[in-house]
This record gives sequence, structure tokens and C-alpha cells, in this order.
Amino acid sequence: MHDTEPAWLVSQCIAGNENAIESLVRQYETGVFRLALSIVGDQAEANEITQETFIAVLRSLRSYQDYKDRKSFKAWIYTIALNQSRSHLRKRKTLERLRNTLASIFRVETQKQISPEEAVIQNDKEAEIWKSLNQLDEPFRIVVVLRYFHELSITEISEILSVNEGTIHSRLHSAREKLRNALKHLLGE
Amino acid sequence: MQITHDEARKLIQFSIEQTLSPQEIKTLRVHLEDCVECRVYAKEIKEVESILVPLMKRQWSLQPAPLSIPALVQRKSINWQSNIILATRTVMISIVFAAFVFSAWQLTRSGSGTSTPMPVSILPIPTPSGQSTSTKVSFQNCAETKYQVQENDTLESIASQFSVSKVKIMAVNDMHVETVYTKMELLIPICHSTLTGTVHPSTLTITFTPLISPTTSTPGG
Repeated sequence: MHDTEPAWLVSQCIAGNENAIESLVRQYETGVFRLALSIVGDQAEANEITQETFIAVLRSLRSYQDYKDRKSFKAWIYTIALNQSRSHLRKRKTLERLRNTLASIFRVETQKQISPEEAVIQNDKEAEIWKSLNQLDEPFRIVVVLRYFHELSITEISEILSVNEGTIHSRLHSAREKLRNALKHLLGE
Repeated sequence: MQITHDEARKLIQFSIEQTLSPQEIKTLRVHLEDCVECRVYAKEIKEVESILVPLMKRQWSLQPAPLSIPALVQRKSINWQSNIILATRTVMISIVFAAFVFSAWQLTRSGSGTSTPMPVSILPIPTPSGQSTSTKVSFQNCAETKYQVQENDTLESIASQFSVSKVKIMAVNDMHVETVYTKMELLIPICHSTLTGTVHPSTLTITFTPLISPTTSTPGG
């Protein structure tokens, strides 16, 4: 299946053609999974989000087809994946807050586990950059991830986030500044 | 063309996105030749990228667990079913709630007892002494009569003449003071009490019993 044929693919999926659904899923599942992983940072959760994203996609294909001023198909799927990931992140933050509150009430020491992400980091510079990336506010972090990891163009990012290109540029600028400052701080030590 | 450090930094940032015009590229190149500070800045930004991109790829270039298409299709349709179940539940809960509200409203309506007089037989009377029973079973028919104030009349004398309270007369005539003057026209509210039952608290004990069985009235002593 080619990326240039989403209209055909969409109509076939709406008609319930399982082969077409399989083509659609196989074409975008890696992208969706990696997007989810880069937002939530947990593989199992990313798999869950991927599944939820495709269920949502299959359910709203008809409205996508009927919508006249629609986004590109890829941007539309990525938008859904992003929204699903954000919603997971919100739920997790709420749970974490609750857990911290309970831990502080009952004075339970929670053991911090080393995440697989931390194991991949090889040196101080990487650790510093990684830390600063995760400390970026969500709108800035998402732009960096979409630009550098997913290698999407500014136009695609602006379509996914429904934000104008100037804003994407300015978010990228300030994110790079912050990451550079983190590195500079390391060199200065 | 001379540019400031800030402008040069902006151009460096835009050069990463390759959105610079040939003129801007030339301007930036001229600035960088003379400015060590901006050359360092450009180098640091490049270093950030050179660390960040491979790091992200190492972290996240994983493969997803392959999705099962039949499971996806099934979950999609299951959701339709669950939506229907949810809608049915919502409707049923709404009906029960509406029925509850309606019955509560009906109870309040019948409980007020002004529009439909309750027969004596089902009136709940808490104590056998029943001191206030006669007032509970009485209903009033009120009419207003015109009266022209005579010489030497006072509001009090008029009130006692018609067996009506001063306050009632004042309220009906929208009066704020008790002063009346000769030939003043007053509306007198005259109410006749009508008893719907012959209940004499001193002689009767009325016991409240459930609606199914008739009221037990026994002559008390």
C-alpha cells in the first residue's frame, strides 16, 4: 500500500474490508507506536495506546472522509495518537500524585526503579540532554520529538498540532536554547 | 550588511530548518567569520542535535507488538454494543429518576391539603387530647364588604363590630397607620368558618390508622 492512496484505503476500510484495514494498520502502526513511546516512555503503555489509536481511527474514518477541509491522513492519525498519549499521560500523572500523597501519609518509602531509558544513556552529556528534554514543557518537548525523532517537517507538525508554523519555529528555537544551556552547564563544570 | 548577535542566532536556528534565503545565508556567513561568540553558539546547537538525535533513536526505535486485525475489528464493534448498553442504562436510570421526582412532587402536592380537603376520617391526629382538631377541619369563605366610616368610629371599633382583626382591615385597605376619618370607605374582609365535620376534641378521640381500615372513633371519657 502506498501513502498516496489513503482515499481508496479509507473507503475500503469503511466498507469493512479486513485486508484494507490490515494494510492501513501495518503502514502506520510503527509510527504510531513510536510516537506514543516518545510521549509516554513506556513500551507496554505505548502498545496499548497504539491499539486504542487504531480503534479510534477505524471508528472515525467516515467522519474523516466526510470532512471537507481535512488534514493529510498521516497527520490525522498522528493527531489521534498524540491525543491518546496525552490522555494516558494525564491519567498517569493523576495516579502518581495520588500514590505520592498516599506514600507521604503512610510514610512508605517507594523504591525508584531504573527505567530501561536510563540504561541506554552512555555518558554525562547524554544524561544531561535527556534530563533537560524531559524537563521541557509538553508543547516544547512534543515539537522536538516530532522534529528530531519522527523527522516530520514543520508543515506536518503544524498540521498535527493545529498550530501555525511560526509558533512551531519559535517553540523549536526555545527548546534548542534550553537544551544548549543544559550542555553548556556541563561544559562549565 | 551588519546584523546583531540576536539576529545572527535567529538565522543560525533557521539555517537548521534550511529555510534561509541565499541572501540570509550570505549575511550569516559574513557575521560568523568575524564573530567568535556566534560561531560557538552555532557549534553548541549542532552538538545538541548530534547528541539528541541518535539518543532518541536508541531510546525509541523499537517495534510495536503486532496488532491483531480481527481483535481490532471486534473491539470496534464491541464498543458499538457497549454504547447501546450504556444508552439503555442511561435511559432506564432517567426513567426511574423521573418517576421518583414525579411521585415526590405528587406527595408534596397532596400533602399541602389546601386544594383538596381531606376527609375527617383519614386526618392524622397525633395525640388523643386533639386540642386543635376543630381548626384543622374548618375551611373559610371570605368576602369583602364596603363600609363607610361614621363619626366617632375608630379602627378598633370597626374591627370589633365585624369581628375582624385590625391588621386584616389594614392589610386589605393597604393602610400604614390606624387613623380613619369620617366618610372614609373601607373594605372589610368577612370570613365565615364552615366546619366539614362535627369533631369535638373534648368528647372524641380520633386515632390515625392506615388508609385500608376505617378510622376508629370511640367516645372518650
